[in-house]
Amino acid sequence: MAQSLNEIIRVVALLPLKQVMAAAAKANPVANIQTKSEAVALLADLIYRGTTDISWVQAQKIPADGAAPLKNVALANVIDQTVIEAAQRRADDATAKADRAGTEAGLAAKAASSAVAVASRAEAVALDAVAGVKAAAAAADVTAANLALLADDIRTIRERVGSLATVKIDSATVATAVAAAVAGAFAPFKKAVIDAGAEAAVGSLAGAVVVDRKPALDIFGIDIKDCKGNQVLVDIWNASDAPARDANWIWSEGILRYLLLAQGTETNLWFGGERGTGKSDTAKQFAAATGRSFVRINFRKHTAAEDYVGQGGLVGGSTVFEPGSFLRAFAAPSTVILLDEVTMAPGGELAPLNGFLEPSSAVSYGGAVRRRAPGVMVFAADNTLGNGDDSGRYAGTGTMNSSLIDRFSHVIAFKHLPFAQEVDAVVRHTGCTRKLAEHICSAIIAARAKVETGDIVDAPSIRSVVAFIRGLSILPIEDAWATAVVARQPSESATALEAIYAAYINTTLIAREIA
Amino acid sequence: MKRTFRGWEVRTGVEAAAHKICSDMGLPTVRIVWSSKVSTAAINSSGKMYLADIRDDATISRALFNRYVGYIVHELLHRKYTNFAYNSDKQYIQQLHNAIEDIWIERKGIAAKLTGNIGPLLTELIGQMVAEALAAPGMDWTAVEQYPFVLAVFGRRYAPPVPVAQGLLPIFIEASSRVDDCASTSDTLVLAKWVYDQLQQTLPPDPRPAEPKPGDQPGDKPGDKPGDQPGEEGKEGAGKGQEGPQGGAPGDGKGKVAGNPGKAQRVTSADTARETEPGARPAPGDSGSGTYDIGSVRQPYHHANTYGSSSQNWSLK
Repeated sequence: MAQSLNEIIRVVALLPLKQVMAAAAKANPVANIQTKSEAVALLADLIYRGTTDISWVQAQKIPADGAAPLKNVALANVIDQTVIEAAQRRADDATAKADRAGTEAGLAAKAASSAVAVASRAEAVALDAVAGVKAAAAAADVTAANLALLADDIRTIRERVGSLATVKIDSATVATAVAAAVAGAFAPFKKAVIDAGAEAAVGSLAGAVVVDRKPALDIFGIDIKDCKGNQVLVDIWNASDAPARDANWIWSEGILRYLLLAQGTETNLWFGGERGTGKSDTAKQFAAATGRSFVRINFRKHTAAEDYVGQGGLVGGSTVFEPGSFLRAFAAPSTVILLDEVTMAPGGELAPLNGFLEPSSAVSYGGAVRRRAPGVMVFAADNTLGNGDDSGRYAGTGTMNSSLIDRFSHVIAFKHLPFAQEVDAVVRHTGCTRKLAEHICSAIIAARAKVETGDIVDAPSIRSVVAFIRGLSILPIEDAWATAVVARQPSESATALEAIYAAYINTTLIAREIA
Repeated sequence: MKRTFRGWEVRTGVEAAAHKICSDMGLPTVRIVWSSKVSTAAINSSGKMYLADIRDDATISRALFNRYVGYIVHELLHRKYTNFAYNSDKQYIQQLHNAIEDIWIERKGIAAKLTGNIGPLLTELIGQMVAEALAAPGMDWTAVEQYPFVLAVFGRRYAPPVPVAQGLLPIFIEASSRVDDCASTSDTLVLAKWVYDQLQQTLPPDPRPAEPKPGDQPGDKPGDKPGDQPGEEGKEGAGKGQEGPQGGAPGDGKGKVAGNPGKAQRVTSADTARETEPGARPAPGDSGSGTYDIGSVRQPYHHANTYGSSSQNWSLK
């Protein structure tokens, strides 16, 4: 595209003075060029007319003895403006001359040429203007795009900041982690105390204490009032090794009343009932909810008193009594002690418990007087309510010595959860639909019927329900039932549960609910 | 799960399941009697449930096992809904009554969802019965003895289609509709008598010469004696047995009809009907021979009390 005259002038004007002067002198040796303006005007006119081009001007060598080129930009601009104006005047003069010539018939060709030149200039100026507008528009677009990006960034940052603001810190988790870290740090000290047999003394000094008392409603979600209509308060302890709470655990008011009765009265409780009715977990979750330590001692056929109470041993050539898990827990304030499957142990091996389980007991054992530390709760759990079992379903259990059972003020028969609560628990634990949980629980409840009248079929527990429903995610329905519910039964009882499957389990409904 | 069971497993499992389902339905206890003398499931007013016995070492398919489960559910529906005091002296009306009562109790049981899978279970049960009936050699669907059975199938909306002799359909459609209005066993008995009247009054007489049939004396009660049942299903007939998929009965939207085997005949007071109750019998080599009868174990002289006297007041339901 042809350059406009102004543009040519601007380019030429920016060349060094000496170079411009030399080029002008060379281009028109007869012209008396005195200033750069005149030189620029001359050269621009020549370039514009096509007589020469800018590269020729730029190729002219600067005379060695010439003046130094202008370096002052402001001054150069002034000069440029002057040059432009001078060139403009010359262009105007040329145009005027062309106009005048145009009026003369003899100069028609020249006039036409001038007219074309003017038109070309006008076109060039217009094109320049369009290009400028386009460039400005493009720049505006880029700016707008950048602004949009910036806005996005700001929005993102705002969202991140917002999400940070909504993050909730689980204080229980933090507390548990801190407690675990502290327990780890103090492990050597703890070992040293145990090695020295001083845990009872240290425990009473550094053990858990009651830090709060809250209504049962706040802790268990169940409002429990005493006989006078007052809210029953729950002791909250600060045991660092309290077990973690199960958010899906469902409390039964009936059971909870016994636990709250026992919390401050050294009342021992006996939990009996079918497996899977929540006996062990009830003890553990009570400890978790109230910030207590929890110790579970599993009994078996060959459990000896020394196993859980303690026994003497040689340490550094001396005979030292080493307390067992029961005595250590018994000496640690707040501890919930669960004597699990206690009817599996021989009656004689349980006899030492009798003394410890007395109210305000002070039993001399292992060379020291053992006392129940504050807040210690003792629960026993078995499947037969201490009566043993002849049916074979709970093989190995024996009838308990009545003097031991007598130490447990209340013997509580645990039942499976009521239908609605069991459905709730299943939904919470599996995330399945309520309809599916109801369907499966209905079948399981039917399968439990008659168990207590001596039917050999064991009662499928809520664990079976949860296992069955979880199995549905990948197993065929029949296989999930067979392995989660049926397989643990003897052959003839398993057949009964297969019959229950036929009568109660609707595969179409299940397929729809798990889809 | 298992595809086959041993006979002893089925007996103990089904019995245990019966007690559980009975308990789950909130019903009084039942007693299971495994008898080699019955081919159909039955229960009486005292809660004694009769099931066809199975040899200890018989191999029982899951399909037959499920059928036994279906029986106990069906019989427990009788335990729940049926009033055993209502009965008829006439065998034909008694079978019509059984058919209508079965339809009524199953509709109620399914509507109440008494067990989670009751619908598919009873569908499978009636489906097996219909399949056996359709496959039976010499089955004459126009024979009057078949009408109560056809009604029992037709009225179960979930049952597969059966051939319905020409002329029966309007009566059965109306009867099926009226079942929904029944509120008790007395109502179903009234409806059975209405159907009986229709079969006597609106159908043409049988042009074929009458054949003497064993045990069809008026007033006789074949259902009283379990030992009477074997052999009833193999009666000779005209051998038509046309079957043709034909969709449901026009306009009723209830029962389904598999074809038109011919014209229905008028029922006379001398006619008797085939058993309508679900039938259960292991394969010939697997059926019981008295090796195990929990009823006799629990109650000495049980057989003498029940089977030795026709005055025992129980009926097949």
